[in-house]
Amino acid sequence: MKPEVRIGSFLSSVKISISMVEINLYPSDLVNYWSRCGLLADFGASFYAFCFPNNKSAQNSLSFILNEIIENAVKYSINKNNPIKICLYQLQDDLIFEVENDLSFEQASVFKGVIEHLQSISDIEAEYMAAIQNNMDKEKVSGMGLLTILNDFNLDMAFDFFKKEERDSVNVQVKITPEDISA
Amino acid sequence: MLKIEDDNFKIWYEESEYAVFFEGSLRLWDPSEYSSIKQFLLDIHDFGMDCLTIDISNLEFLNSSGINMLCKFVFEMKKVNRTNLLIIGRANILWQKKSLQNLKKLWDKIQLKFVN
Repeated sequence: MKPEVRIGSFLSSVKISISMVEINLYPSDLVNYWSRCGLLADFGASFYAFCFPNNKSAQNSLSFILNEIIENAVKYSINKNNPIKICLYQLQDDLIFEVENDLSFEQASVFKGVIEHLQSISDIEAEYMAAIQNNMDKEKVSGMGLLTILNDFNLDMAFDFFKKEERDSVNVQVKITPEDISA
Repeated sequence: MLKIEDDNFKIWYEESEYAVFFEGSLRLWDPSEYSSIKQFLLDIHDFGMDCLTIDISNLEFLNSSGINMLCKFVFEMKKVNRTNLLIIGRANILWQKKSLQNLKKLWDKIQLKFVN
């Protein structure tokens, strides 16, 4: 299925990968037992940490990154009983994490705006610090997961938005190189 | 002992060291759970020590919501500006290294220490 909107340089991961893991599961299974998000992130990270030098430190960073995109997919899934798809791909030297989830039309529109804004700014650190300041009085904040991994790890990310009948969906792709997660 | 814990993490205050220790994996969903941790830290801050230490070197994971909570706590300490703050992290845990550096940008009075 072709995306309606593509933001960023999306890699065709399946075609170029030498190894992959795919997990499909209901967001409700994660909402009901939230620590399962961390379990999944830890599994994905430990499975592929062997690809990197200093794999203990790499495993921690990979889990951090994967946990953030899984948590986002679960939180923003419009129907917690429609599966999300988590795909992990090993390329020659790099990894790609992809997580796909359903969104409401409104959420998709808002998210596109957020991503387009992030793609347009040159100083992600300033954006991150400004977002922290702006969130000081709010109990519930959104968008910080994405900003955190972009700011802290300087990752390449891409987003495919798909139009479906009663809802939209988004596939978030993160490319991780050994340099991104070297301590 | 003043502490908060569940199956995945433990946070406790060592009065003899004026230090709060974090251990385990802290990846909560509910913002209100993080509010109670922030309040725990603020209550300890209210004891009025000269320097409060927060040691996260044995905290393997903290999600972005948790990092946000730490930022809010630092912001509150900065507003009061009565107590010095030392934060201890681990050099080879990248999210710790980055987050602590960001906290120092929020309040330049923070002292950072990285252990191996």
